[in-house]
Amino acid sequence: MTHLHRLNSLATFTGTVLAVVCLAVTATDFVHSGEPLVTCEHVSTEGLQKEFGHDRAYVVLNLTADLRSEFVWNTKQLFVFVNVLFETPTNAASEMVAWSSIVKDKEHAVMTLPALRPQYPYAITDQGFNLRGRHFNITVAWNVMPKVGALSKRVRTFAGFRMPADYDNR
Amino acid sequence: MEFLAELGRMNKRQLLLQGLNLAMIVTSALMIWKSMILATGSESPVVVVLSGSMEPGFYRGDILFLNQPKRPSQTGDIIVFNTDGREIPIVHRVIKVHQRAGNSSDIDILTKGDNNWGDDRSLYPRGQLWLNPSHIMGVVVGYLPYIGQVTIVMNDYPMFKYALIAVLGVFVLTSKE
Repeated sequence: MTHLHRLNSLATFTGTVLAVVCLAVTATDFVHSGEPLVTCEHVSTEGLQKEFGHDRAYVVLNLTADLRSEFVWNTKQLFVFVNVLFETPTNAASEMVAWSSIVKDKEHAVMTLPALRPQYPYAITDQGFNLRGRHFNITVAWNVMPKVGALSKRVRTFAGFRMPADYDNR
Repeated sequence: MEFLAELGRMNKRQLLLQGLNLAMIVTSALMIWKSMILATGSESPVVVVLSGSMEPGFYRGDILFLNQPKRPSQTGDIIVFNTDGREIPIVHRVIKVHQRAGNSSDIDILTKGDNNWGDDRSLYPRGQLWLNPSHIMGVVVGYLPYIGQVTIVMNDYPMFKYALIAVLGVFVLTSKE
C-alpha cells in the first residue's frame, strides 16, 4: 500500500509542477511585443453581383506582411486573416473574412500577395442589397495560437475604398 | 484486500471522518467548477476537443478554456457553439458577423473549422443560415494540449472510469492525514 501512496504523491507532485511550468510559459507571452510590418491596400474591384438574397463583391487587395517577430518559443502557429468591414442602413456592422492562412513557422511568416482575392469558402456578402457605392474598411488580423496557454489576437486597420456605384457582372 | 483490513481497524469516528473527507473532496471539486462558471459566464468553462476540424491548431484530446465576453463576437474568434437538436458542442472559428442596426445584441454569425473545406451551414439544422449569440457557449481563451485524452478514454471505456474512481476513493478513505 505504501508503494501506491508514493506513486500517488509522485503523480500529484508531477501534475502540480507541470501546471506551474505551463503558467510560467504562457506568462512569458504577455511580456513579448513583436514589431510586425503589415500593409494592405485596395487594388481593384472585379465585380459586384446581385445573388439570390444578397449582394456579393469581388475585391482584390495587395497584402504584404512580415510577421516573423510574432514568433516566440511558445507560438504554435498564427492564423492570419484579412477582413472587409462595412456598415449599411440595416446592419450597424458587418465583418467578413476574405482570406486566411495558417503560418506555422518564421520561414513562412513573410507574405507578399499583390493580388489577394476572396478565397473559398469566404465571400464578401451583405444581408440584402446595400453594397452599391458602399464604403468599406480593411483589417488584417492574426490569432496567435500557443503551444500551451493563452490565445491572443492582434488587428491592424487600413484605409478602405468604395464599392462600384452599380452592379458589375463581369 | 489490505485496505478493507485497514478500514476494519478504524473505529466508528475514524470511519465517519474518512467519509467526510471524501465528501469534502467531491464538494470542493463541484465548488471550483461552479465558481469557474460564475467567473467566466460560460455554462461550460472547460471543454475537450472531440474532432479534428480545427487541426493543426487543436487536436482531438486537447483542452480548451472558455470565456463569455461582454463584447459581441468578432471574426477570428474561436467559439464553442451548440445548435438546437445537437448533442455535442462544436469548436469553430467565426468568419462572418452581421450586427443589426439599433440592437447591438441582434447578431448573425457564420463559422468554419480551420481544417474544413467549406463553411458550417451544412452543420446547422436544416434551414438555419446563421448562429445567434444564444447558441454560443463561450470563446476560446486558453489551450492545454493532450490532457483531455483521459476523458476521451474514460468515455470510450466506462470500466476504466469506474476503476479510476474506485482506486482514488480507496486512497482517500485509507490515507491518514
